[in-house]
Amino acid sequence: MPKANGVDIREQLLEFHSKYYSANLMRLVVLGREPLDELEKMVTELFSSIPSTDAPKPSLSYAGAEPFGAEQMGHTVYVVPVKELRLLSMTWPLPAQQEHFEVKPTRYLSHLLGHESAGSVLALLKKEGLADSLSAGEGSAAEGFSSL
Amino acid sequence: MSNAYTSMENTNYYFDVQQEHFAGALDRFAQFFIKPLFTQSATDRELNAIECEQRAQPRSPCSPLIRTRCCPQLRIPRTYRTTCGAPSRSGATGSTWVALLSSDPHPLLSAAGEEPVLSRSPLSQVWDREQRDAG
Repeated sequence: MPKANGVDIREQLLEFHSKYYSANLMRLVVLGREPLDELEKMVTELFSSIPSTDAPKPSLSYAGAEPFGAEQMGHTVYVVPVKELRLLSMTWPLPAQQEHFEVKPTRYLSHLLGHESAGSVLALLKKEGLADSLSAGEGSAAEGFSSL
Repeated sequence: MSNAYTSMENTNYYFDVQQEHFAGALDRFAQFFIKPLFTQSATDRELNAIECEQRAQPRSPCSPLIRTRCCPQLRIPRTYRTTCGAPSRSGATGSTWVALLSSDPHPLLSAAGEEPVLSRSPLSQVWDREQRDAG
């Protein structure tokens, strides 16, 4: 299909790579049993030649947009799935949580809501025959926005 | 094990390997970022794999659902009908799923159970456009 449209995928890949795979936009995490100094030396030797073109961060056309505006809030969406599936999903918008990554305040909520011990939400739902599993967690879909 | 994925805003490449092979593996890993080959044959294989996945697997109904929840530009009709797989040019394929937004019935839906007048939702139009742009 790309060929029929006159698109050279390989050319596009190389172009994408040279545009965005610039060291200033990349982060590397290494986990190993070697001493830190040794890991650092390895990484410096191997990765220093990745070019850095000072590439600008790809623009986010939706930056600042409110994903849950008045039109999206307070709605229930019913979906008939292809699979045999019964699922209830509730979503609350939250302010961006990225800056709290060291503390993770939403973990307190998701831990309590998702707990499965006696007296938990799930235990009650199970007892009533309403659910057989439950999960809760923060979903960080995009920069500047989060949800639970 | 090595793999990669792209989420909403980031692409992540990762691998793990036995300790004695770490330095060698890390070197090869680095080369992809320094000077990737993107050989014609590997590119074709990947393209083929993506095409097969698209054809074989009806898309999860969750993905348009996420769009209805998250896309602020999208005005959603209260009732819409779309196909589970990517809508094909020749007509709908895959199972049909229906989503109903609660509250009032859609003004274009004259009576319950009738075919909605809006047979192509804004959602599937967006989808079509994406498919076209991606194609």
